[in-house]
Amino acid sequence: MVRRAPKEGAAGTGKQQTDDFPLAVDLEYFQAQLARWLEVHRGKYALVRDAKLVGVYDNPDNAYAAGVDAFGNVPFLIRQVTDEVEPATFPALTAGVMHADP
Amino acid sequence: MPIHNHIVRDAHGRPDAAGLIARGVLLSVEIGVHPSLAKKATPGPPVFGKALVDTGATSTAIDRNVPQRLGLSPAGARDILTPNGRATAQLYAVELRFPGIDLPSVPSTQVAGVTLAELGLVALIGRDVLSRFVVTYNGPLGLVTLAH
Repeated sequence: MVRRAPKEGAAGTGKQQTDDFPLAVDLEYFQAQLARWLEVHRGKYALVRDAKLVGVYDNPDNAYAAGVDAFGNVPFLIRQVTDEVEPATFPALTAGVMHADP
Repeated sequence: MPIHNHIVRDAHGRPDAAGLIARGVLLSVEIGVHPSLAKKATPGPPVFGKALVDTGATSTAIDRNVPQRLGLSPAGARDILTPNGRATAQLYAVELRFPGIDLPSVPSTQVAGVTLAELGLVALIGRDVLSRFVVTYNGPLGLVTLAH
């Protein structure tokens, strides 16, 4: 599932919460808190659910295990607390061989 | 050390360098829910299909229908580059298994959901997963070796 990012914005901002993209609110919350969290959690992985920080973890696997333990199989956001986010690249997709949108 | 030799052969059983160029490295995969979730919930049946080993991809991706079929909720989001610029892909936690191949299963919580089905694929195996393997590409022999 892929959503187009706003041209001028960072990932996770300006998106609408939908059934297809249920993480929009948590992404916005993450972006709003990022500057503050960078001071204390840089490099860690934040677990966010319903616009609340559940915890920070050393790696995404531990964050996922904690999220599943706490909430089960529901949408939640795991994202690294960093200001150096490079987009993932899929050359086949970038060349138009694959489709990014449904 | 588990080793898989992926050999592309022509119709006469000979090593086929051109076949490897044309088709790349396609592995049979079984995609299931992540072990952390499997302990907590009854997993849906795994999804079987072909995965392309893609050393050009930074991350591993699965077709967007796979999480739906597994009943998986997203567990993250990441920016990706597309022909039209940046987009945000949802991330899922899955386990990749390789039936019939002597390679270990690979759990990952950072797999992007994109559209792959039109390529006949259920997954792209990117460098995040490949980082756990030793990969040797022998073009003249049409042979790719994955060792763990």
